[in-house]
Amino acid sequence: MSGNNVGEKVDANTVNSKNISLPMSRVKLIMKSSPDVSSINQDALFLTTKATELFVQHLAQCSFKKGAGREKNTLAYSDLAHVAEETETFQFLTDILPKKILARDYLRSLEERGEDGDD
Amino acid sequence: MASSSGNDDDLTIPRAAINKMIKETLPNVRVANDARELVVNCCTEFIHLISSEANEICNKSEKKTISPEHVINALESLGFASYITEVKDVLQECKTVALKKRKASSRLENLGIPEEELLRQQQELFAKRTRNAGVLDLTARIVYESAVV
Repeated sequence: MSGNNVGEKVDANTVNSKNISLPMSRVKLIMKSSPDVSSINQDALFLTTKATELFVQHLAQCSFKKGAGREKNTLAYSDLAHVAEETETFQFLTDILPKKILARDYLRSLEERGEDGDD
Repeated sequence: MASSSGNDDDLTIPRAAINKMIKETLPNVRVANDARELVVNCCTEFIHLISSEANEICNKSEKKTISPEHVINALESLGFASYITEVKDVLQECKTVALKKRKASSRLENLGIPEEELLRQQQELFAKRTRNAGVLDLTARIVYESAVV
C-alpha cells in the first residue's frame, strides 16, 4: 500500500454507511484485547473491520449452501458447526465450538456403555 | 446499550449489527438464535485471528504499529486472500470521498471567487486582525468584504 494518501486517514466520520456496517471502535477494542497487540494504524483497523464483515457474509453463505436447512430455508447452529469442521479456512472456529455431538450418537454411546455417563 | 463489563472476553460485535448483516446476506432465511450467537462469537474469533497474525508480521518487520500491509499479508497467509481485493477497494473509495470533502470545504465554491484572490484577501485580513479571530470569523469576513467590494 503506497504512502500517497497519508493525509487522508479514514475515520468513523468519513466512512459512508454504505461501505461499512460494523462499528470500528468495537473492532478496535477486540483487537487490543489480543495479547501483545499494541498500536494499530487507522487504515489497518478499517481493513480489519471490512474483512470481518466479509467473513460474516462468507460464513453465512457457505453454511447455508452446504447446510441441511437449505431446503427449508433455515440456518441452524449445526450448519455453522459443520462448515467449520469441513472447510479449511473456517477450521480455526472449531476452537470455540463446544464439542456438540449428535443426540443419536450420544444416546448410542450411552447404550453401549450401560449406565456409566463418561463425559 | 454498551455493557460496562470490564472483562475483555465479553467484547463482541453488537448483535444487531450481525443480525442486519445476516439478513442482508440471507434474505428470507430463518436463522436460529443459537446460530446467530455463534456468528457473533465467530466474529470475535476472526478478529483475534487476524490481529494476532498481523501483529506477528508487524513484529517481524520491526515496526511498532500494525499497518494496512500487515493486515493484508495476514489475510493472505490465513487463507482469506479472496477478501483482499474488496477490502482494498472499499478503503480506496473511502479515502477518495474523504479527499473530496476536504477539497470542497476549502474551495468556497459558492462565491465564484478564484482561490488566489481569496488567499490574497485572507492575507490582508490576517495582517489586520488580531490573533484571536477564529478561522470561521475570518472566512465570514472575507465573504462579507467581497460582497461589499
